Amino acid sequence: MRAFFSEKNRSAGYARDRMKLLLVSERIDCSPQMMKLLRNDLIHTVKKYVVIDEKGVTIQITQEPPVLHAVIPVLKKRDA
Amino acid sequence: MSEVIVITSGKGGVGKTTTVANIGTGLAAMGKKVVVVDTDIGLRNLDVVMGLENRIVYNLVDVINGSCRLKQALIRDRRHSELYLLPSAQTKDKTAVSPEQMIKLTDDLREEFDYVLLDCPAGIEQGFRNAVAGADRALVVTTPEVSAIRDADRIIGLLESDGIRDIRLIINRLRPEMVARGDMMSVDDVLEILAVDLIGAILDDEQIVISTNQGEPLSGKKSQAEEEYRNICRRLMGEDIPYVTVRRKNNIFQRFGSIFRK
Repeated sequence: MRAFFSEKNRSAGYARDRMKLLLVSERIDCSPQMMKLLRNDLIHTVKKYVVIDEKGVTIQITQEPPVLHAVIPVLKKRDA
Repeated sequence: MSEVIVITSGKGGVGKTTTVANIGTGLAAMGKKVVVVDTDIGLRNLDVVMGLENRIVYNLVDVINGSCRLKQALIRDRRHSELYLLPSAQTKDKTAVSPEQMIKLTDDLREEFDYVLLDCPAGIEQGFRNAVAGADRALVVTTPEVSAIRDADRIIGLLESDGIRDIRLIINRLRPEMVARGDMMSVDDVLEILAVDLIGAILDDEQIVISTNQGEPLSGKKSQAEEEYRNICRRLMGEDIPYVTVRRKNNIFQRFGSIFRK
């Protein structure tokens, strides 16, 4: 019976994910919009030096201690 | 060695006052000398939850102003001779007291009691500053709701910046049937979001309403919520009590079950 309700479709999982995102940005005083801008700026800067897969860029901040992680896939010369 | 513990939450209505009354009563029942202090000036409430509202003569502001001696303002509980209430003032506002005055008051109370429990007002303004000023450690009360969790996170940040290192979380009003079907955040969910150590997880329990109506905390015979309050008391005293939660069983929610992370 419980298999019917995968956690993704229930409200608690949604609430948990929302809160995680919100609180991380509140703790460092950086709104989700600012994170988006930061992501764009990072792409813009790195692009000047290497070829990257822009769609694959992810940034996130982990807790305790807060660390900014950016994953920027770099394309090889022959792929580009 | 005495301890001053502030019970706080940020958001109102999550169960701070009930928690103070229950933990205070529990510690006293275990032989400790306890005073519960209502620091919510202007919105007195701990007295009615404790059932002591008819015995108030002097209050916290009278003590701080020197209108009476500390001992004159302390009200002895009806059922536990080692449990006392220091009521809040109903006619003043929060600016009637300063953090320095609260530190002096809690230091005076330390000399008489094993545990000084401070019932903090909701919000993050001066009432909160006053309540936190004299505390050694903090219990943050939240419910598994987004609004309460967000405020709890704010409060934890403020407590940390005030230099309070020992912060433990109480998750209140859990409804196991909703957690089981994924419509309420679980204890683990809340702990993961807030990144703070648990000291108790309390079920949404009718007995708490009944005990509060009667003005007699911990008066229930078979209440899981009240049992968990007693466990919190033992954990405060340093005992290692395993955490239990409720699991679904034949449509009846029975005690025992999984132990979750500390």
